[in-house]
Amino acid sequence: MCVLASILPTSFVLALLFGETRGFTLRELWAYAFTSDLPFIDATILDLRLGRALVATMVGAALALSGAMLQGLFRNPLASPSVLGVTSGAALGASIALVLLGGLGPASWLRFADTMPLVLVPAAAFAGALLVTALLVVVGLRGASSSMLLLCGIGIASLCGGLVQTVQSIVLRDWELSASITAWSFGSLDDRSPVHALPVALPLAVALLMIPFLHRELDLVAFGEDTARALGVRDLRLRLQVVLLSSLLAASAVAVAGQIAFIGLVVPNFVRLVVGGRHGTLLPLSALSGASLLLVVDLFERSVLAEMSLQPGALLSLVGAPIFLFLIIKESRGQGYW
Amino acid sequence: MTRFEVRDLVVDRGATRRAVDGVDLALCSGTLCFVLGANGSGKSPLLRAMAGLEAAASGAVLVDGEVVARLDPRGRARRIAWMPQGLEVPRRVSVFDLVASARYPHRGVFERLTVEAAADIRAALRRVGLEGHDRRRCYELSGGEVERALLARAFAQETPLLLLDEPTAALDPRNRLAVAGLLRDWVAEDGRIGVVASHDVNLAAQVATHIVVLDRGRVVAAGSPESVLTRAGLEPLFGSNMVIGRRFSALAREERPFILAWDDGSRGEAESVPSRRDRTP
Repeated sequence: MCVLASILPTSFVLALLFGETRGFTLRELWAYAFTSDLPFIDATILDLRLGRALVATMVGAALALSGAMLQGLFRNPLASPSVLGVTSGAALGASIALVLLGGLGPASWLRFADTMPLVLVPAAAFAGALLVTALLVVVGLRGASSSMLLLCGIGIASLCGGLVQTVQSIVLRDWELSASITAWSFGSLDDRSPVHALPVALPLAVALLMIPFLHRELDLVAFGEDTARALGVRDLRLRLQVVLLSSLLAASAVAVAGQIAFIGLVVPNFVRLVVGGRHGTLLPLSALSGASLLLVVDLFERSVLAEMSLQPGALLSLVGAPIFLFLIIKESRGQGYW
Repeated sequence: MTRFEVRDLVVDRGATRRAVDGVDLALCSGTLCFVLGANGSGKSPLLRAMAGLEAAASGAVLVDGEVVARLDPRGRARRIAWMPQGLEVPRRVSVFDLVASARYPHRGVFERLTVEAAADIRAALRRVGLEGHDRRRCYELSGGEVERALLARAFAQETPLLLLDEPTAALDPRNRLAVAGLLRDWVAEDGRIGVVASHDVNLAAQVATHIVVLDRGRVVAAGSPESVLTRAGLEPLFGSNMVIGRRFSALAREERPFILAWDDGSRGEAESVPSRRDRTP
């Protein structure tokens, strides 16, 4: 547990020290943080790395925490932010924004400033994800069970996925636009500044503060919804809280960094393998591990694989999935981990 | 002294089916009530409605005069424990954590498990014969041990009323008798109320103080084991294919009826009685 907790500060410092351009020493990092006697160019490089590292930390933590909460609520190791349709809602919002900004026909008037895509695309992605969240909350308020909510999420995800494909089909001949939609769907941490970390930090802080109020109830849900209710859990309130929090976490993370696969699904499962199913430990450690993993993968991609331009989502899946499969197969030969 | 009442309770399943149809029941401390009935007779919906887990179409369930549906969930869980059918538990949860989950309604949001509560949990485990097993994971337990651990959780919830849905369905005869004995002692020693939904007529015959027979959601027989466990009372459960005898029961500490599901071709024309040498003096 302590090992997992210590990885985050270590990987954060490493993410600042190493990168595409030059490496820094700890003394230089100290000078950057607490004095101002660092050359302008070095300070600028560290500014860029700091922004990227902050975004990676927030996004990784938000996606993993969102996945851990949903897996606990739905008692399903396959649950992740994407199954609720939040990610697909964000993708739909982003795709529509990219089409409007990309200048298809009469909508080209939106192309009034070069910097607008950096703000408008995440904003549109967030709006799309919020719309899906609102739909889920309405379904939840009508008293739908967890499995009904999950099915609704899958249905919404399919609908949004179909709409994204429709948008992509319409602009298929516009290579630049098609490429930008596809690139967004890969997820990326390029050109992110500390400002981008703020929209993720807010829901993340709220979610982390809510853990003490939620973890025991999620532990009880593991025994079954009815048993949890019989033990005094307010099931409707819990469902709404978890769906709202995890959707906001995923919405903000996807809006800022695009669709980064793997973290929301696999990190909570990995942490469960290591520390067990108590949510008081599982939730914060999932957040820590998600943040650490995205930092490390981004650092690896920037330093070792700098020339390949691989995106973090692809690298995570390529390297992490086989390791995860190995662990799962190993565990399934024993007693299982769920 | 706890009083538990069910008044003209109706539970609907969809628009066309009535799972519980006007059930009335009044139980007081020290009662172990068995709800008997065939599959689909409405035992589980009745217990779920009693536990406040299923909304009633009409009627009410009351504990000490308070309507269960209006109690806040934690308050309700401090009064009524419900043990579901089946042995499904998370595989990696320890026996201690499984039983400790019963303390949730008694704890504040930030309150840690007190030394006294931990002692109560160990006492509940001791009571069901799982002393020293608290660190074992659920996947390491046999079906009978899981059932006992679930029973320990229900005991550790420390409620005056315990509802159990088919608690012995997955157990072998030896474990069935053991669980029945635990229940009888728990009700008798602490002056609580136990309600058990079951198919097991012979278990009811040995430990129940009150029996209710349900058929299509309605109460068709209710009363003491002696008055209910007759050919007429059990007709909804067995049809005419039964053999009724009497034998001494160590659990009941007296002679009680026993019932065999047995098609002897008599079609209910004659009561079968065991030979005298089978009767324990």
